[in-house]
Amino acid sequence: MASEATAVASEPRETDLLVKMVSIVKRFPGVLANDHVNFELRPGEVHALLGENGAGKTTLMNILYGIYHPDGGEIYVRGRRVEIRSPRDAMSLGIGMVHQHFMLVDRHTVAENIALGYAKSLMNPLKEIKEKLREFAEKYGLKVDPDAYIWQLSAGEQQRVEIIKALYHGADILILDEPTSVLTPQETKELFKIVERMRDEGKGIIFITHKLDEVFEVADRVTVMRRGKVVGTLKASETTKEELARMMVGREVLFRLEKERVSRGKPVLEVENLHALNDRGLPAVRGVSFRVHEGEIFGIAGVAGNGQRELAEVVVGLRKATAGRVLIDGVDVTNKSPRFISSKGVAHIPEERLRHGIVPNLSVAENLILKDYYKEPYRRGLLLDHSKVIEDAERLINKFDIVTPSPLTPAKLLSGGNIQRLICARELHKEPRLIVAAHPTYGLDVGATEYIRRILLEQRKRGAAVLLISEDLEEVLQLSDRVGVMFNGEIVGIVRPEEVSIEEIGLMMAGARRLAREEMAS
Amino acid sequence: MRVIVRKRVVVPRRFALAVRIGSVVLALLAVAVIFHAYGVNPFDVYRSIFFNAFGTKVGLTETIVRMMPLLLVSAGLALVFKTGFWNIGAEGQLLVGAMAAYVVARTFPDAPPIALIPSMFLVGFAAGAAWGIPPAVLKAKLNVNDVISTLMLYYVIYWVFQHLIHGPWKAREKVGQLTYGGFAHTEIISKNAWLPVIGETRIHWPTLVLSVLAAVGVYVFLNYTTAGYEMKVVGDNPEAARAAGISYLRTVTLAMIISGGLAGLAGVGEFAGIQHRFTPEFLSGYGFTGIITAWLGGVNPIGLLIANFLFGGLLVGGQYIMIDYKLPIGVVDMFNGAILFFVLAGDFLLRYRIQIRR
Repeated sequence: MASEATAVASEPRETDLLVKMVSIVKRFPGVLANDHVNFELRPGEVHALLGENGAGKTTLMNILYGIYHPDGGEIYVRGRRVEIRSPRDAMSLGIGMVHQHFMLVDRHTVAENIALGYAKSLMNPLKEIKEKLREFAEKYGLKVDPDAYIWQLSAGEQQRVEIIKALYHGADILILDEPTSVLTPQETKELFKIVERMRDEGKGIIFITHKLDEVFEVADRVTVMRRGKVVGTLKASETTKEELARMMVGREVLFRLEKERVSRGKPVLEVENLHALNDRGLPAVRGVSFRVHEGEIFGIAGVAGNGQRELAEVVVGLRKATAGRVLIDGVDVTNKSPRFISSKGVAHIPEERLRHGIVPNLSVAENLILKDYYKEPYRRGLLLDHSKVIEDAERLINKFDIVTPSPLTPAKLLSGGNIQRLICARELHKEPRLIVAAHPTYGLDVGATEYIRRILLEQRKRGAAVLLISEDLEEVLQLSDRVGVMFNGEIVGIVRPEEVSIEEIGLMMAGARRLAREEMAS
Repeated sequence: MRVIVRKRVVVPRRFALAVRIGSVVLALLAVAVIFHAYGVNPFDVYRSIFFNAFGTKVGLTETIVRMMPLLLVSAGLALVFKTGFWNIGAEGQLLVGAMAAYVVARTFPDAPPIALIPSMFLVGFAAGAAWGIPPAVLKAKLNVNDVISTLMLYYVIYWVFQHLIHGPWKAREKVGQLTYGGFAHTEIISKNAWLPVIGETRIHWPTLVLSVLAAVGVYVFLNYTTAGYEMKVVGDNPEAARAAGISYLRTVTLAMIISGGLAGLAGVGEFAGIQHRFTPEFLSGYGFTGIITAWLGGVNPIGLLIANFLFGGLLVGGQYIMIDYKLPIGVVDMFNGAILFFVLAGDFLLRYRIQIRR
């Protein structure tokens, strides 16, 4: 493996390397997260770290950033052997990390967030910070208003603040953990420009991702990880998407899912001029109307926080509509209880599957009956028929390929993909009329993602209507028959994926373009 | 050196048991330091507690007498804790139950025991349950903090109780020709309302039967009924419960009816089985001690029996050490406090792994 890792290009001198990680081992209970991993970063390169979820990419970087301590192996920074015991150690070595979830104080301004623990002068650090911010803006295109409050910023801007934080502390080794997952296509492009400028400055950037396309767009080299091991390190210019995918998954992957033509039936879900508030009591859904038909996947695209979540919650009965109507098969279900709506044949694959989808300490079997426990055949008078529960659980575990030691295993011990399979099994085995799927593949590995997408297509073929909400634009475009783009609580356009460019959708997602009513695909 | 705290995914059963026992042992050691400071030998004290609680016939039966109300209270609490609702006011629910029994006994002094005693338990259960419902509704509807509302309702009923026994319920006493209200206590209830006891002991067996049934009952209820299933879901993930159409209000209210009702039964037993009248010192803290034993025992009949038996013994043995070693009355409370403190701290170990690195 080491030979593969260093076989690329001419051998740079050891001291020229920014980072060299040798034979890193990290164990978690029951898992070998990093199995003798070698990794190196040169100055002036963007090095993508590619792999499925759970491949060990983030673990490796958390070790470099001092969050985890390795069980074995050595780390060299600029040729010097180092022990990194905490993020503070990492920062003093010039290593910065931008996490997937931002670590910013919402109610403080940009400058204040940067000052927090970073300011070098005691007196009036804000002045010094603002000066630096101007400098960064010029040098890298990192533009942010220092006086803006964090909560006012978009995800992309918040990410820039995180990058600035790292740069402010003098980082020349920058770790970006799945940085594009929260960005619009335009924001992604801007990020890539910033990354390129930093590279040209001679900084080293480690770019964690599981999206193959990004590797070719931004990376110079790529290290592929699978099951805790490095499969290989390659030059991005000398490889192909197919090769990387094979390395990542360990087998051939189909990029185009077979999407059969399905003739569209009568409308199942009708949403009419719907309005709803978010948790803070502000309007989140503002006059949304659309229909989803039998045998149709209707995708909702949009940057997180533009009302998609609230829309899904209103449809399944978890949030009150303030105006408008929701009809299922012609029956008005507006503001009815979740159980009533579920009884009308509505399945829900919720976003944040751990928070909304399962009861972590209950068994797989108990989780599978969550929507049916109160009905025949599980309920016998006041009692719950355990043998029937287990019997049906075993059947569903087989049918939906849920990998679990037993039906009695607590659900929280399953992997993310298997938890999602559990939820699918529970929601889909009764052949629902409508499936509301929110971010169904978020955080899943390639294998599980493929499985879930195939299931959604199968349901479509069966004649179910699917409302698919996802931040993964590619997924929405690939699966959907029609796509509604949400911006600021409104649907600004309904398009057919084959008739529209990704740039155009990006413009709509950013609120820069809006279709007239007659332009919308029906 | 660094201390790393990480969430535990699996808790081995034996480890859980060891932590529980370890917590109690640590608490005993901590209190031993205080005994030592008082100038008494802690080991003598513990030997004395153990001997007086479990080593004599009287001690053993008295331990059971104390165990019964604790068992009733803690069975209900263990169940309601499973829903994630913190009922800290069992003491108040116990008191309401006892007061209801008093009203029944005073209203029908001549009713035969066969009718009177079951009615007292029934009304006592209902009263305790009624006192437990408002916090559940307040939490479900207005998100009122359960710890505060249950605890404050205890104070409300406590002062109502004090008012009643100092006024309307005060016994009329006869001195010569005069009848007047004397000390702050009620009249002794009719013998028909006295609970039957076993032989020469103070073990009022109807309560014993009820308490063991309660310990087994909550276990069966939680694990074998649909309502118990709902409680587990609500306690473990209220958001998922809502999405599945399980009513938080209904589930938590039912849990509080059971918990408050069982505490009410404990009050009936204590009143009609032991004291037979109210004095200002009627309460002896079973409602609070029950929180600890519920935590130690969980929804598990064996666990609850062991925990409550031991705590019953501690209460009995504690009385003796106050006399034998002239220790202040607060010592037993301190015991309880120390044990709860260590048990809760021990729970942290069950939920998190702690690693120390250099």
